[in-house]
Amino acid sequence: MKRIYKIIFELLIFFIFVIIYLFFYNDFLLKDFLEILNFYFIGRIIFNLIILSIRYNFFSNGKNNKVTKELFESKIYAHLSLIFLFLSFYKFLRFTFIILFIIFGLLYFLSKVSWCLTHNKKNSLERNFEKDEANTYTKKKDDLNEEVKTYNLFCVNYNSMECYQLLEIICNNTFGILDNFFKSSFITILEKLFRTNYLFLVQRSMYFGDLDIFCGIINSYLKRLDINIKISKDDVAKYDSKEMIERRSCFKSTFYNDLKIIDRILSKNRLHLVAIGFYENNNKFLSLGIVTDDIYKKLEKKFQLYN
Amino acid sequence: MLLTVDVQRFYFLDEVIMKRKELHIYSCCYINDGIDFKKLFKLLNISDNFNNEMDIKKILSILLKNKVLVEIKMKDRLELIIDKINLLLKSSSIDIELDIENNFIAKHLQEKNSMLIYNLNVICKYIRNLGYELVQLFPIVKKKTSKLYFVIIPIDKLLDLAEIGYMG
Repeated sequence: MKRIYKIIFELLIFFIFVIIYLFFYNDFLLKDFLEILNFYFIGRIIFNLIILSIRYNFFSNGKNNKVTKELFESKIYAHLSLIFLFLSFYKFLRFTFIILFIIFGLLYFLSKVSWCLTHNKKNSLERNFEKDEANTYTKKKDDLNEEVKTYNLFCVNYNSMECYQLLEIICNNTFGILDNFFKSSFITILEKLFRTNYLFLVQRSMYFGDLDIFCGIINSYLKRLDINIKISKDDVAKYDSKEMIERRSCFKSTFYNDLKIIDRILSKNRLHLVAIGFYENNNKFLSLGIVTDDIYKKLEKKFQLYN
Repeated sequence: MLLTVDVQRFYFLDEVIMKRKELHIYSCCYINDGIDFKKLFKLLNISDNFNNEMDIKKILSILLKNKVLVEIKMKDRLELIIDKINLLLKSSSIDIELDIENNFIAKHLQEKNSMLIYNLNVICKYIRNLGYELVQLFPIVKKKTSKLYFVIIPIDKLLDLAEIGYMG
């Protein structure tokens, strides 16, 4: 439909042009028709060329890249070669215009080939990028266990409905935490969760086997939640295997083991230590929280556990 | 305020963490201009009579002035580092003094030779036994600095610190 309108518009312009021409040269003969047509085409192509240049230089909104540049160049060459073609119908400098037509025709052909190549390359790069991103995404998901090795880990993309559902279970929308979930940034939601003590961010120092720091942080969190349990260093250390003792002595991560033991201790009081991982592209937050037995069961039922 | 560091900064943090290949076992707190410095001063027992607007450089200089923060340079000798940490322990009213002759430190320092991060790890582990944590304050500024800033806070106050900056 759009094309039909375009054709009608072009014909209309042409008839207007003919009328204006007849207005000035009323001794019009049919044999002059070809000359009028020629003159019209030259004018029309020059007009198009000007519009094209203005659009490329002033109205591209900074979107010009290699592909659009090559497309623009090929269009310019096409227009110029057509102008010279039509100019060569006149007797004046006919040979020069024919040469110029051939040169610009060749340039158009070459730039079109170059554009096609760049375009294909760009497409294949984009396809590869998407593929890579999908790979890194899944790899990241797998790595999350490998890197931190977190016990009772539930992982969600923080821009998903899953994340909303997970937070709904954890906080039951207390303090209206989820009221603006889809409007406000995730940082705001996280901040609310941490302020209200639903979760806390894992600190680097917790990874490295030191029970003073590990129990210290967990105990101060339990205190914040008004849970009257104090986990002593010995409560955890008594479960240590030989390997674990060695790991603790040389700054190696015992995070998984420590979480597991703390969870075991807490489960006697119908509580669970859960790790919640939020991720999106390069950002990831690993947080910990203590939940009651029923909340833990709900989480386990609805979400995949990465152990 | 927790997570005052915006999302774009996290990309930067990821980069920083990736580039740092040394393993440090002490906590690290990333702070920027937007932190609740009053809360930080309260946590470090500094009398609060400062105005509302303060950039990170100013905050650090006040902390340094009050001797609750030490500045460690990468090229600092171990003796100098220990002196600085001792000053910090003293100003945090912790009644203990580090010494290279001290059995715990001496035993560990003999194992590896003067790697700054390793030395700091050993010192950190020693301080942890006393119920305190050596925390690196990592200011996020455009101009990167090679200096390391440390504070000592009780372990049970670490979650409070996590409400001020981003704990890494």
